[in-house]
Amino acid sequence: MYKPLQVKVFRFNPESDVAPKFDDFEVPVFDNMAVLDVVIYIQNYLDRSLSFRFSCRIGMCGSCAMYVNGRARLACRTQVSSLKTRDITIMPLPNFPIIRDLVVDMEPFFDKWKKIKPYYVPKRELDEPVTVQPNSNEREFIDDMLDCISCGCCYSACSMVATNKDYLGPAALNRAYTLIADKRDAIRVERLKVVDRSYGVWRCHTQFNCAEVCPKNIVPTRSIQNLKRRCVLKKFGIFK
Amino acid sequence: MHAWTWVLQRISAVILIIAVGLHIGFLHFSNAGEALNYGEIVARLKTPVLIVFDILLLIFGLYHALYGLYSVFLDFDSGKKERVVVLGLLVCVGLGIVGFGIFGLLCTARSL
Amino acid sequence: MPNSHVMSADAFRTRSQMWDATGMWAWVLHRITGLGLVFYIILHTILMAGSLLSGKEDFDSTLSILMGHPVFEFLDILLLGTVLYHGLNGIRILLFDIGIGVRVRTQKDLFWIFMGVGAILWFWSILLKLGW
Repeated sequence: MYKPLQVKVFRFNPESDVAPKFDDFEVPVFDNMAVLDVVIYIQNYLDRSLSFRFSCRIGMCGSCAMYVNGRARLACRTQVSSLKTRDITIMPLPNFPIIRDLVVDMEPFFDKWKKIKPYYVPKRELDEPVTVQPNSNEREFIDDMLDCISCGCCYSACSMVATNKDYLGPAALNRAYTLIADKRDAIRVERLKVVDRSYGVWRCHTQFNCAEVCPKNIVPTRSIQNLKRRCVLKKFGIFK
Repeated sequence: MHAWTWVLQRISAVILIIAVGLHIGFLHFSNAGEALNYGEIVARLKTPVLIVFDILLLIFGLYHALYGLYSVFLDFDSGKKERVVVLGLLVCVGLGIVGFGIFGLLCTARSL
Repeated sequence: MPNSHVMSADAFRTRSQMWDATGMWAWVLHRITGLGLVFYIILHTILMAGSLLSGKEDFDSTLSILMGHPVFEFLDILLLGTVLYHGLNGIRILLFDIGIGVRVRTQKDLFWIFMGVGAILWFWSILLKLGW
């Protein structure tokens, strides 16, 4: 019914290749086809050696993030029809070391994630559980930001990550904010110190690339702006 | 350190929006096409408010500019030593130019 | 070192730029105009202070060239455009800093509104300068 897709896929096998290259494939289209279906088709019928990550195929695990036609996207959540062209170019996420084909090394990303201590630490002096009502302002504010599936799209879209290898990146900073904004957490001040550095919040110049590509519609820029304000308020002695 | 310098950058930005606007409006784009002459400048600088204005414009303008340069530098990979050196250089350049500018303004204001 | 065989992503760094993102262009131009203005402000300060210190004749002749010659009139207009861009986008950034407009769509709208204001101010100044 529809003409087939012309797909260029980035290929690199460190065990056999000296340099990366692009392979061309022709892939038939079916209704509601996603980019993930495209690479699965290629792997099943055209080239069994194509490597890529995926798992849940419903936008929850964050494994299938790829660079498709100029943007970082989740392959499972990107409809081929939304690309509005039959020419598709698939590459691995930028700003990451490449392991093979479309598989990138997420190690640097998670190293930075760990740096901000991405886990809740309860306060010891509480006798009873502190409750934050689900519909309270403070809860609703950070609710959306908690949806992060650490797919790496924001990290790969950020220019500051591209130029500065130490920059913590939008995902880590967003996660840091969800915990620093949580009044029940015990190490908020410690976490704030980690992000209050030249390779932390101060490298963000509000480009919004991260927010544009986030498949969960998170706006890390917002979190980072709030963190900057907190850093300043802390210096003035007001930590809210 | 970064929180303070960042806030100062924003404060200098607000001041500059007003001050540069006034400066350009009154000095670059007025005077109906006639070039400003030395006498007019001396007369202008004899007014205390205006010379203070010019000095503040100079200080905030150079702070904003040089902090901006430092920010561009930090956006790229650098070692701790390089950062200290560049910061030192920028501070020296800043103080030097601000000093020279204030010197020029004050000498002119006092001229006969 | 784990993954020692992997190829660095350095070779593909340029492709992390999203050339269709308004916010990205806004920032790129802000940086370019900023660098231009740093260069200008240093030049301007040294030139003006130096001319003033050189005395009346030097100052008057320098200024009559700078404010009379058509090339400099043109450069002045470019300077104004640069200042307007950097200042207006700067106001947009200040809004983000106080928490206004930090949303994907709003930041784009704000950009174009400020550019519209800038264009109007710029053309009005050009007309003023041409003596109309």
